[in-house]
Amino acid sequence: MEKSLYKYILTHSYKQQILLLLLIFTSYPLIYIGFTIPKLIINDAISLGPGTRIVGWYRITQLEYLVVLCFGFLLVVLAGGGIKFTINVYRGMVGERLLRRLRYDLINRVMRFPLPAFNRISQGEVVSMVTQEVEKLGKFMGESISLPAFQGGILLTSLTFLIVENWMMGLASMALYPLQIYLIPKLQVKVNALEAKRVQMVRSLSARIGETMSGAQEIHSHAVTQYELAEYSARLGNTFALRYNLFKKKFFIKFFNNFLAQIGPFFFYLAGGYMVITGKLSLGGLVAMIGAYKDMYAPWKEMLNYYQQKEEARVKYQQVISQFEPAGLLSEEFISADQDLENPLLGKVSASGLTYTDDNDNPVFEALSIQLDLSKHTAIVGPSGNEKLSLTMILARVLDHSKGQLKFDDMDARSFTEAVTGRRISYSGSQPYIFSGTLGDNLFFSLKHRPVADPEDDGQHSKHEEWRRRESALSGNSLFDINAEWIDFQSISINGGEELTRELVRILRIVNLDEEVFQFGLQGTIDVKEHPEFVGKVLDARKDLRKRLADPKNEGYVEPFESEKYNRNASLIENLMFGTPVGGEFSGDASARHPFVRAVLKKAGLEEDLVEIGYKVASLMVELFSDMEGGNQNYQQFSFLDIDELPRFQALCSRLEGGESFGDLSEEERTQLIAPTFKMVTTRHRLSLIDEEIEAKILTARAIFARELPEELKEKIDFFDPDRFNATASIQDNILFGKLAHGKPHASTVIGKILHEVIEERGMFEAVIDAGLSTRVGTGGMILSNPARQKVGLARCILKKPDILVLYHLISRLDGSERQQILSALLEEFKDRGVIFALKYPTLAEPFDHILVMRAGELVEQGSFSDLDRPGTYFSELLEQERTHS
Amino acid sequence: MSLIEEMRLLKELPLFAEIEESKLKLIAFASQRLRYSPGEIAIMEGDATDSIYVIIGGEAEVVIETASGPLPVAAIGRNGIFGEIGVLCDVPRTATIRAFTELDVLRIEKSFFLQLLDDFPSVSRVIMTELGMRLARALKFISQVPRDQAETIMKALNIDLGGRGGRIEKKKEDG
Repeated sequence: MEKSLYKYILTHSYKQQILLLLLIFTSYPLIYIGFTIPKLIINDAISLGPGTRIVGWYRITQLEYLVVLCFGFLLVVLAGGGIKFTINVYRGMVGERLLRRLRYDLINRVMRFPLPAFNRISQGEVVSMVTQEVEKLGKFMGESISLPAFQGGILLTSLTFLIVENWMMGLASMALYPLQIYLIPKLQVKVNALEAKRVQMVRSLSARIGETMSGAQEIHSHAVTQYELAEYSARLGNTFALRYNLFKKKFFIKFFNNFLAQIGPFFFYLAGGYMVITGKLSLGGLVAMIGAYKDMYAPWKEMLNYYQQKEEARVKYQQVISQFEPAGLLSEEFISADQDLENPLLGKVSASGLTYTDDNDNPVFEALSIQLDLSKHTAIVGPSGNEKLSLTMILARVLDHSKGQLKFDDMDARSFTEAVTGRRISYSGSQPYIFSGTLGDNLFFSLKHRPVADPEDDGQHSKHEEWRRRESALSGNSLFDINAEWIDFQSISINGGEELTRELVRILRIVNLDEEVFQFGLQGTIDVKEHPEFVGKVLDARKDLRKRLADPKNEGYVEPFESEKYNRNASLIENLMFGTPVGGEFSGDASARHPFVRAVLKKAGLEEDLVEIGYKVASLMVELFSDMEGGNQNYQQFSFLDIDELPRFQALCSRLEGGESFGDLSEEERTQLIAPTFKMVTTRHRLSLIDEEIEAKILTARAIFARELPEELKEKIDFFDPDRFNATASIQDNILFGKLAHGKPHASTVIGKILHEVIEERGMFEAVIDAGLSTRVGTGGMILSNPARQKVGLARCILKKPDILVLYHLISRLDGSERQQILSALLEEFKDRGVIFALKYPTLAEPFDHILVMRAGELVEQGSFSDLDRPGTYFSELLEQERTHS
Repeated sequence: MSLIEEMRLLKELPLFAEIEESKLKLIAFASQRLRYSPGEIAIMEGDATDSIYVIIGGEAEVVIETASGPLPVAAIGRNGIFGEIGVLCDVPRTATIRAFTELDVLRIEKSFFLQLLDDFPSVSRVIMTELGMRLARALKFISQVPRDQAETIMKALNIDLGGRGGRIEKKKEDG
């Protein structure tokens, strides 16, 4: 990247900057005319008295002359304004393009950081640099050349005017410039130093905040919050002191400039006034000169401001750039070249004199010689240490070795670009990162090397696409379309979407994740527009399930929704609305507040009952939970009410006990009592408050609700209908079409099994998996368990169909039997391909063809399991250690 | 059955005898009511532990897996509890419990039960008594079996007890 800001600006925008300058030059004559016309108006049109004036070939009266001049002035002002507007817009655009380019360049650099650099560079700092610090640079870069040119031009124009009018006055108004030009940079140096320090402080603050958030658990578990806060206080204190100092200096420069500027009028009034009195200067001339001086003062001030901004931007740019040049930065070519090998890597990996030295120049291992057969499976065992990890990463080409030679099928590994290694080799460490997005995004992650097909064209699109490409090119950004098809089916010999899902299911089975994704799918919804065939299948499955549930051995596990029956395993409000709310209109506590719901309650004669039941529930909750001081979580999870609201309910209950009747309650209070009753599930809460009479009334209300629901609310609810697919409900709920019984033990297991059968038999398994793939996994894969994250990482390694699979401790978090099962399925999948697996547990090495044993940076033993598993070997020691520890 | 009835049932249990009514209501409210049919398995040896069970009706049998198939070794009736060892020792289920008759239980979540132990010493005391009684019964049982069998069992127990005892003594020396 360009070392200086100006070089960067010129390299990437010199054409636009020249165009800007041209625009600016066209505006100068207008500005000059803008100065002369007022002089003509005062001197010629007004002061010179009546009489005809000659304009071109016309003779006109004084008044006409004045009108012509004034309109001329107006025209000049308009034209000047128009040009100024164009300049501003164009300048803004140039700046924004440069900002886009700069940010892209910085992110591009982050992509090229060698992996070890990520251990040193703080994420928070990079984030604050790319997002905030360069933000101001954008504006500056746009005006960096045109602003001084423009303002300098105005300044020169005004000066020219002054000098033409009266050269002495002109020179006098410039008298103080040399002083300013000499002194201000001197002051600015100090400001610059402080500015650099401030940038670093803010940067380190954002890194520290990131750290605090990541370490929140430790901070709370050791009660270090106050210490942390004290540290922040100290940091903010330092920042304050620095900023205070900084703005004092900045304002001093301002004060100094302002003072010098005001000296100007002093000279004009004194010297100019004298000259008018003595008749050496006309009054109009003086007025115009004072005007020109004022006009000159503004650009001069702008120039000084610009100088300060330029210095600030220069410092900032250097501060940012220097952070994006770590040692060992990968070349642009390495990440951008799109290459692939003609033949798969199936021969051998050979390393000679392979040496790796870490960041601190400590040798991790030296002069290793390794020969690996890529048609076989290799395990690397040994104590967990830097050398095992580094060697694994070097063999996977995600880390570059320091010395020596590494060859894949007699090709130098260093001749491979990322596109080659990323297609031919899969690598995952022990904690694969899960990106926020859907599960599918994460699984198909490894197939998105380059776009493989353009997005579908819908006419409207192509115009936007053209614009997108043009702008991207102008800012030096990537031209690839993010909306294109990126998943490279062909690279894994697959033709389309359905086949891909089948292949994915096969791989999910290898890593034992299929059941989990299936469960996600069951809880997920399906886009009916995309899968119209699915709807019929679900309805069939619903009927089928009903049949199976009628079997005496499955009886009572599910209570189906029936339009004429109260479902005791469903909540009261579900029973009343007999459907699922769509959007917020009828969901949660909003339903108790909803005027239509309330009208239905009144009509069914239910409102008074519910207020009374609500009162009973509330008083029970108050009785049960009110003396739980400090609010014990273990108890609170059972409460109907928000524990924080208990005191309010307590007050309400004691008023009612004290003799107030329900009629005395305000509408808001009645709503508060009704809300909890909506959540009541008869079989779960066993409060015996909903008797058959109430049930009957709720059924009446259900009928009224369905019948009288206003047209505009019909979209807000999806009614339960045995013959209709409910698009807002999960797939599971759609097939169940009822509620799991609360009192039946193992209900979810038994029903889960039946559901699975029904779905599998109807060939819906893949569709459910597809639904599972659209589950959003949250930041860092939050909703997935640790083992599941490892499995996702492994699945994406396999899906890519690499020639070589390189793994480090990946399945360590799974329990023993599952580990074995996944390992053997994995090795079976890679029967004819290379596997290099650094194992945490040496006993797992048994099925591998070849084992490398590492110890303290040395390759101490190698051979087959049976070769190594004999007394006296270090490997047998490792095996023994593992066996005694487990 | 309603919450109030359940509360009365709980009150009859020695486990909860000393707990005030409002808290019993809370226990009933926070627990889950389950009904097993005869022969149905309530908890399975080796499964993860997530709750304890209190029998409020019916009878269950304790079954252990032997080489020659499952063997019922004891019966638990009304007011009996099961599943507490797993919760207290934080280990997987130590035995299988099967419904003998129609079996009604209250299932109490692990975290909730442990909170009860912390809050109500009387519950802890009853649990301790129960465990103590079981140990006494086991010892009495051992005293009745033939000597060679008893020795095998005692040996198995002694190694355990001896080992722990040893460690405790060592701690004292250190202290």
